[in-house]
Amino acid sequence: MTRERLRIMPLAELATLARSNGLEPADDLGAEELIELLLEGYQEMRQEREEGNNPSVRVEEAKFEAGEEEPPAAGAGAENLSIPQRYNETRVVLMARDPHWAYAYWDVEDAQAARTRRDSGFEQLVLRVQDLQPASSFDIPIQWSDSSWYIYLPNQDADYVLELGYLASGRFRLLARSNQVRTPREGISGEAPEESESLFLGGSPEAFAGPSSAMSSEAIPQRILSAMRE
Amino acid sequence: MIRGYLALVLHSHLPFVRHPEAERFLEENWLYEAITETYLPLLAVFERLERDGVPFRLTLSVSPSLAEMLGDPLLQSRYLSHLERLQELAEREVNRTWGDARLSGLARMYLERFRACREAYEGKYQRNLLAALAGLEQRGHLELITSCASHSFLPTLSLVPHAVRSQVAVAVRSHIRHFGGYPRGFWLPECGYYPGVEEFLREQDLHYTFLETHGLLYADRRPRYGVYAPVACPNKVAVFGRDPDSARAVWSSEEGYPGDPVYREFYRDIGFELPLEDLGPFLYDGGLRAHTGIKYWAITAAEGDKAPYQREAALKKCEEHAEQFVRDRLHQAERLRPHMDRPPLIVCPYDAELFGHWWFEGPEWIEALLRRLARSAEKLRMVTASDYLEAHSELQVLQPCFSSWGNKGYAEVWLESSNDWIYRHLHKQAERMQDLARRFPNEKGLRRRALNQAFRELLLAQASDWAFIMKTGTTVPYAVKRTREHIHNFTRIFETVMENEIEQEWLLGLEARNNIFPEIDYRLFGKAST
Repeated sequence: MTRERLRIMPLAELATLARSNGLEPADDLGAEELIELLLEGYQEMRQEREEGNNPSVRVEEAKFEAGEEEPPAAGAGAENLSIPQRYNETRVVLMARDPHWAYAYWDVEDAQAARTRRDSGFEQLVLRVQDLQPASSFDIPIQWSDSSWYIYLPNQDADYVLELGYLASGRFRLLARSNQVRTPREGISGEAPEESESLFLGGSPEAFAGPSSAMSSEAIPQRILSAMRE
Repeated sequence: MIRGYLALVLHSHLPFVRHPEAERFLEENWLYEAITETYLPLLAVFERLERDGVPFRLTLSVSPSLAEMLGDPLLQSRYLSHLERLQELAEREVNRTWGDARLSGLARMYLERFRACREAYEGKYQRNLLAALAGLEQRGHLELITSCASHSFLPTLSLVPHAVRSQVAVAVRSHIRHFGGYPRGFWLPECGYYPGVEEFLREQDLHYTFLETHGLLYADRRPRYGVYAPVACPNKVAVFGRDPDSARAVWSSEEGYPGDPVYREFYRDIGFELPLEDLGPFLYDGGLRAHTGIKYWAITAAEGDKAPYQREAALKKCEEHAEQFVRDRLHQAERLRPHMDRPPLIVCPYDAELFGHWWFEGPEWIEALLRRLARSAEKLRMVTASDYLEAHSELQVLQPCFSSWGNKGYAEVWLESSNDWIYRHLHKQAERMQDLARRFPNEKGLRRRALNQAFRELLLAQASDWAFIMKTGTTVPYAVKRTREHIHNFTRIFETVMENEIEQEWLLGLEARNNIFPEIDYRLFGKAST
């Protein structure tokens, strides 16, 4: 948003825009002051966004710098494109995000939701997080109005499944089970490389001497790693 | 004696943006700017090297959505109109800066550049940059590889294997159509890897891909040579890991080369600096400002006034930076060599648009780099992944780790509060597409066209760019609109096909507008290979 674009906006709209961007303008600010506040706010927001981004993301972001965005009123066209709010099916999906966080979304089909609510012992809708190895689990209470959640998964490189269900008369009743997700590793594996586990991709294996026996295979990765860090 | 290998890998990509319904469309500029600032300058570099007999060899991935746009007649002619407007603007700038010793030379430089672009694009290339790239591959300078059909971030689609499969299968077909040859390698968008994605690469006879550093380092076993030799997934697909040192040197805007004070400042564009009346031909509807590519200032210091850009000083700096890069890589190779039974391979993948668009002098840096590498070829040899695999086919087998080159190395850029709402739809749509393909195994006529268009809309919705933009915040309303539009279109086709009430007129309009992958065949959806 540029200065001149802000200048053609009525005062009330400027104040609304400032508030919608999390700024707290004093009531007696004039248009020019509001514009200054907004421009500073935009600059700060941009810097904040960029600080969290690594170089690859920053460079890629620059690809999408084209120009001024349309004023808010004109950009509202997207609302006319109706898309389903939900698909009315009982389902829970788990998506790995990093070594400790996953995203889950779910839905409960209307008739099933009605039956569940009528269950006389119904206490609480929950997500049960199943750590598959070693088997353990914990519950996250959720509301009917929830449909997605970020879930902390304690272990990296571990398999998880999510169960959507509810507690009734002290027991867990399953509504749906998610796909299985393995959390990514967050560090170097303790497993040493094995000599036997190499593979020839085409070509002739005789052409290669193979790993030198003088080197301890155990030690090489660390040396390579420290060479990388130098 | 060879001390090491160096693989330079450029990944070029832009999402499919094509709006025939509007006379001019701001986001189409992403493509036009990239052609002017990156693709044409890189082609010019390659041709100068070829003319001078300098041997060079690198890998270029061209995303299918970019290739489709480069080959699209409407966008081609619009690019020329765009250049005409730029040229007109640059002529006005030459007049406006007349007598201003600091800026007038730069204004003339831009005018010259736009003229040269126009001549090259219209004359030499006959608007067809794809053929120029194919020619460079045939003459042995480039190895062209492909990427996901619509650049989807595959870890978020792993739930629906057919969705991943079709991203790869459509890409390979598009690549063959545009370039003639079969791609041997595959660029995983954003280096987005999850264990198992290699199955889909192998199905399409793709031999290798590239991963972020920790994708290899955090594999289930320690990689014997770190990232300095590729490894093989258990299914034999080879995986090359990114070298962190050379990445930092070029990517980082603070410690990397592009942040040097003499280089051109990206954010100071006359499109945002001049009074509206000076931008006449370049303003968008209602006087919206846009980047013009005409930028007069050097990066200078973080604080204080910017100094005018000095082209000669910047080009001299490019030479220095290229020399430093080669020196550092040689040093790196020498450090690594004693620990390895083969020369280390240093893999340097970059977004192609980094060069020229973000880092204005990037193409000249690449030229200086390639010339230097050619001179030191007996020490540091430029190779492509295929060249390396031909020379060194024994690879350690391990299972790489879920990874990407986004923030913190996993999926958080593409899966966070701003964009997580899309996945419910993307997964459901892919399942629905699968239902359609099963239910209508061999349709003809209008229904077939509807099913094909559903496939296109599905792919377009899966472009990782939309989620990326929602997160990074550059042009969010457009990204949201595009996502909603493709979900809407897909759903509407799905419902009308199921109810046997296809809306012919609307469908044909959609076909004409979202015309990516003209030869797409919905029967491919879910097929392992053909």
